[in-house]
Amino acid sequence: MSEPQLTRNRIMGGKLLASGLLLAGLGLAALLLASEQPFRLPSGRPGPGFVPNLLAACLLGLGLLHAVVGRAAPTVIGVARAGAMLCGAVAAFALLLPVAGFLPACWATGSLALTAAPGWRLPTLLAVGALIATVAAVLFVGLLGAATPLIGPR
Amino acid sequence: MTEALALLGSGLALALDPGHLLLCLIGVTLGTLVGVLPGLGPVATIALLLPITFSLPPAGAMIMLAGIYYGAQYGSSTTAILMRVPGEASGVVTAQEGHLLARSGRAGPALGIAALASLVGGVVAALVLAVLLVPIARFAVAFGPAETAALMLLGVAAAVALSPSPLLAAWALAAFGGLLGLVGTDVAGGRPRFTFGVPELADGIGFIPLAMGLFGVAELIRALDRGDAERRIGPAGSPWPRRADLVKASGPALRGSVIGSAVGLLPGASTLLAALAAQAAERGLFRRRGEWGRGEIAGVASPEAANNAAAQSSFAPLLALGLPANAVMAVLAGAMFLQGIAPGPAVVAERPELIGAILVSMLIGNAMLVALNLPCVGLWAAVLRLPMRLLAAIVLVLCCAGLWASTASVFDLWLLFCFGLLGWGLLRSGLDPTPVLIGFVLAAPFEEALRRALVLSRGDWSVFVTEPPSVALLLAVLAVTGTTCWLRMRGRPPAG
Repeated sequence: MSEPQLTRNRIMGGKLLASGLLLAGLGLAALLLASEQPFRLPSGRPGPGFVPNLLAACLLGLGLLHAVVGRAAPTVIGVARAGAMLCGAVAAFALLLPVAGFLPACWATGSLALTAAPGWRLPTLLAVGALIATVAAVLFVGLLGAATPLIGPR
Repeated sequence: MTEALALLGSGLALALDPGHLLLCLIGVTLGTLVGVLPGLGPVATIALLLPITFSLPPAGAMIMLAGIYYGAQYGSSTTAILMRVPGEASGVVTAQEGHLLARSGRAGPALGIAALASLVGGVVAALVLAVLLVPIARFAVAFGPAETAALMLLGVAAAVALSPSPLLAAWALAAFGGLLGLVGTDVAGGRPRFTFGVPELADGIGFIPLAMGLFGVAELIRALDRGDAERRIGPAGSPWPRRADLVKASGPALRGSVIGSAVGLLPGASTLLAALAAQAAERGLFRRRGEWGRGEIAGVASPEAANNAAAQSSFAPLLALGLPANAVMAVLAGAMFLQGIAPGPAVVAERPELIGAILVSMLIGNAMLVALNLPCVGLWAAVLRLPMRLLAAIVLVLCCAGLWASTASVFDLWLLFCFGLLGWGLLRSGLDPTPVLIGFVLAAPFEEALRRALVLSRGDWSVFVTEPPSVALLLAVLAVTGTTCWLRMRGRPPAG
């Protein structure tokens, strides 16, 4: 086996182990949380922890199996910038809306989302972001009557 | 047949309501738009539009959302034929012969045939649905809790089988989705589960932020990653096909409609599978005739009729059994729950006017698609020139604002952020989020059915293997999982 093939196999194996262990870790955490719920009620009927415990045990077992014998999915590369900017844009909306109001939240979200692909300069991003925010404000606050201040805290 | 006519008749007035006609038009227009744009699929669009449906009546909401789904199947053919880039997975099949026709200067007739074949497929599937829904629902009403639990398991198994993710990971993701679906107050005992003392979680995780984050945000990320490349689009030309083309396409369109309608009825089946099956059948039957590999009109008519028919007939498992067959149906099931309607046999029996209205709207919507698409081919081609980043920014702002306007909950915005991150993580790992969504939607009904079955049997698990329908469904789960496992071990993943 050639050196690049060995390297690729090592990467795939590491990725498989990581994703499998992550799923198993989630299962273990869910199992610990579900164990706080009664598995069976005093009457012998299945309790509120019955199905959560079953599902958590399945998740733990399947995660471990995936780590040991599973097949790796093809890795998707090159989405770091778009992903970071779009998730950041959602976080900006959640952060700004309660403290700065609807319009600034939309402006920040629109501008950040526009940076998800390279090539546009800052003034263009801010101007197009402001335009999108204005349209959103007219649509939601003006036409649909959303009860939220345009500018300023709730 | 009488039942089918009665079902269609009961929904006629509701479907012909001017407001519902407008919603149908909006749905098919939006569907065509998202089908045309590579990257933003119908799942993401329906998920992003869920907040808007809050303010709509149930029939209007379902008519619009259904229109988006089958409209997207047609829209996908535009991009597939003009650019050889399918806007939707099922467009891959149309792209093969359709783009060859476009390169030989016959893009217009290819688009016209695609529209007309979609109409045929849509009409046939709507009639198949009308005929089969009531009998299937009547059969499912007789199901006890053990059969219902087994049916839910079959739904998950079918979704997992067609997921492109590795099998074990897909099952694990379905279990994870199930756990997310159980967050909140236990319906039977009133105890909070997995709420961490957060009052907003007492009612469970919101379906809208979950669907928007896992599919909407993640799809935008995927689209941005590949959508801003330079797009070269040739002139579409007149979309009106010649008489000879119509004659040549009529047989394949009819056969594709029947195949697509049949494939769409299967739990877990996809429009891609239907298009592939229809084209394979057409090539198998008429390999020596036509211009296969050089631009064959049947290679457009057959898959287009099949994918549209499958998109519509896949409503049958959801409406008659309460079983979402794929990610789009899972989102639609969520939309129905948000409207206070539990999909399943009871809806067919108790709300025939709603089901009838959805079916009639499919007939009307398909006619609208032809009227919308044939004269507007140039417009849709122009939409393809819009930069993806601008569309993504508009969609993201509207989705955040829409979520806020519908729930007025900052907590839901943070949930959207968390599920956006999860969707991005799954995307980077090459894992498909569909099993998470299917698990989430089916968790509560599965839990209720399982617990009821065990209560009725006094804790005896053999109840699942003593009733013939339950045994048959569990055997189907084993067969689906075993076949998938065998096919994947042979290195041939099932299409889907």
